[in-house]
Amino acid sequence: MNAIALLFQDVFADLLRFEVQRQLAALGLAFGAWLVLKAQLKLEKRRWPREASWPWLALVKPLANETLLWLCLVAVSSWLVTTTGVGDLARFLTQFYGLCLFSRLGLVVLRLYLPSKVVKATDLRVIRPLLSLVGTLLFYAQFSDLDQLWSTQVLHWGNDHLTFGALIVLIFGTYFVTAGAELPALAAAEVMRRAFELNGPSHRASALVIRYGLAAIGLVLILAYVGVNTTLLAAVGGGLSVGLGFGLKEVFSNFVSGIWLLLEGTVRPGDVLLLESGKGEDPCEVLELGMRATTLWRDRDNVELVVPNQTFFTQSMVTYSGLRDGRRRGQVLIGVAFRHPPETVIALLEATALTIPRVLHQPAPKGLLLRYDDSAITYAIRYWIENPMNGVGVASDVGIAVWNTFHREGIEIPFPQRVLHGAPSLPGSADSQ
Amino acid sequence: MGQSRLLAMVLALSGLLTGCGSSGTTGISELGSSITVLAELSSKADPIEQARVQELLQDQIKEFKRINPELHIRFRALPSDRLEQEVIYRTQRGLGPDLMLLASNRDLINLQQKGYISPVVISGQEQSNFRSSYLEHLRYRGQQLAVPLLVYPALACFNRKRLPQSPQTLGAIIRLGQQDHSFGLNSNFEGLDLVMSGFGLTLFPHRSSHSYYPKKLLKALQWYREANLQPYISFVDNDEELRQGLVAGRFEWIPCSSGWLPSLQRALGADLGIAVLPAGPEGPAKPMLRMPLWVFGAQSNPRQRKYAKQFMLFTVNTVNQRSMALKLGTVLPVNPTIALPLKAYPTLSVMHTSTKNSGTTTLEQKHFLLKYTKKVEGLLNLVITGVQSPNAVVPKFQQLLDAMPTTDQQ
Repeated sequence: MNAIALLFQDVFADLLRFEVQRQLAALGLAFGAWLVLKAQLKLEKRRWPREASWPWLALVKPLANETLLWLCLVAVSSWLVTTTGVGDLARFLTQFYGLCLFSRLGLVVLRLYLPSKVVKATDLRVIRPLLSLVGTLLFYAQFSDLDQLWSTQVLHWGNDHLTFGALIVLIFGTYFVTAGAELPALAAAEVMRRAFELNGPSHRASALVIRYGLAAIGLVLILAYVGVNTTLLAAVGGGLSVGLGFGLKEVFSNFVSGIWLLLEGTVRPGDVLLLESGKGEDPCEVLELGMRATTLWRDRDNVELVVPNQTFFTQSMVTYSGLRDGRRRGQVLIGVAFRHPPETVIALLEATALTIPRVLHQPAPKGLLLRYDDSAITYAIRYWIENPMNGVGVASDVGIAVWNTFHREGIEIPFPQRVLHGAPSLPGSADSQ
Repeated sequence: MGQSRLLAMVLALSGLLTGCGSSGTTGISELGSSITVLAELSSKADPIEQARVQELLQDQIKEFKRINPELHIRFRALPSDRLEQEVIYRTQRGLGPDLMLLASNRDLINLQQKGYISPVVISGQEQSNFRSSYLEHLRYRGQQLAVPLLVYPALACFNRKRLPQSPQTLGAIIRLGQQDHSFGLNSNFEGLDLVMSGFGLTLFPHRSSHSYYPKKLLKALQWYREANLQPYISFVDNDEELRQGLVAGRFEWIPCSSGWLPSLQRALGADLGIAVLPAGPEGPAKPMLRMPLWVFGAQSNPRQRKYAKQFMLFTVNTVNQRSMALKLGTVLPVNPTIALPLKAYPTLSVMHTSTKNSGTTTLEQKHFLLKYTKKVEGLLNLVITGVQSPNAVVPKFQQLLDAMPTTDQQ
């Protein structure tokens, strides 16, 4: 805290220097000139020449005003350096702004190839915090000795110590490695998808495995940079194993389960499965396989279920997107009066099922006489659908179509009938009197 | 709208800072101040001595902050090359150091011309902290470009175990060199100064002395030639080699600076002897004084300049100068009001005697010399190595010396 106060004191004292104020004033002038130019040129609103023929122009158009500001800053800081020889502070601020602008341009390009959601998340979680951190350190370096600060010892234990630089790398490096691994992992997975023709779930699983791999390599490199004592690491590992045995057991178990499931390929993002508790009624799609838990999406009520990874590891489950294929077979049961010939009924059921758009023609729907019940003969019409998530919807469609067909063809769907016969009265009973 | 507001804030802040900067003593600037002090670690100096001086300076910074609690002093000691880089880096940003402690061989005129340093105004009362001769030679065109912090006199250092007494004359060096006593001498510019002064020569002679200059120069160069013919007299071109030579026993006698004493004492202990430098046929040696110099940055704001000057004056006040001289034992104060206990400190006594004969060069002379050092050393080496005779080199030397500013031209 004291160091930060001293830094502010240093910066404030230096801001009172004439040469520094001249540079800030020059940058202010550039900013003012930019405001005027921006109002006059209206770059982002006007139509640019060849805008129609060059579609990429539309992508960079939102950055036009920022680029104009950068050019104004470059012009002023270069003029300052040329005329006075003292302008590197202004040049630093200009260059840093240029770096921020360049990063935005990079994000525009990335959006062409990667999902917009991922690029935006990377921007917010990685690029902006990284630029803020780098900017702060570089700004400090303008006023003070960053090397000295970097090598200042801030934590001591026994004969070991941690420098400020190592602490920064340890904290922020760990964050950036874990948060920033997603984008390169996705890019690598995309290359793999094209090279090995991976299907959707495999592509997403490989992205996740690569992401974990990159994060692991990054963490190892960070520990190597920090120079973690191997003895200390062993001691921490020992302590951790005790911790794992008690408090962290569940967390660790979930993490290992997640990795195992990914490698095994039994649960991958994009898979559709039924949990035992789901009674087979509600298929869920796997959205994300996280470090601790898996996020499932249930179509029926549009909820996301967060299920601990070890659940999949310890319980049996039903999956529609397993090894064989991703199709689901559904069926509708229906009772028909005894007087109708079964061949006629089965033919009608199969023909009716084929009229439903989401029912596959191959394998063809199959009608079956299941059993003779008290009031009706129970038939089943079994059919295949492409998307397992549509099971209930298609069953409903088939049920309605069957009713309409039976109604049109005069096929009776009987309701349960029960004929009660009264027992004959005994002589001498109250009734006979 | 948002950007207009941002611009208004920037302009308001800029105006506020400008106001604070110009007044210097009122408003927000009262909140505190901060100065950057850089110290040069010269490769020629004794590392132990440099560490001790650095430690003392840090103590003085602490003391100074005790009486100026609102002040933050950013102190850094850097090797010469890194200091240059740092000064350039900071100056190009408008953040040049406020105060620098430089080695005495710096070309201050060049630094001023590049805009790295600026003169300081020393009032009459403040001047009483310095010997007037020390301040005079650090003026350029009537402006005080630097002020000295300490004085390192030039001495003779020898191994008493092998050489009971230091030679009193340059001639004695040659005689002893013929009798198995090993001597190490500078073949660089500083060594030349030592020998030439013994022969009644200065590098910047008075115009009236030009007529007899070649004759004396010839004698001095002949001494060099004769010295190098002795098997036990060696010429080396850097200070570290001289120091190591005495420590390792290769030399029994070397010319040294008082700043080398910590390393030499650590290695030789009680065997280390010190004496004034040997005289020449024309009188005592008059070596140039080595003095670390305080110089002021050219980009400080008024408060920073005020604090930098206050701190400089703090380091040369009577208490601190006496304390430094006695704690270090290798320096003499620049403050003339201090009476050191010379009888109790024999080393200080020898240093004091040596200083009496020492000379100083003006900033213009130093500016000139640094440009011609290589040429002068080149000519000297022609004689030492026997490539050319002293007679052949004298005219070339004379030509070079004629181009140098004479004392009466200052």
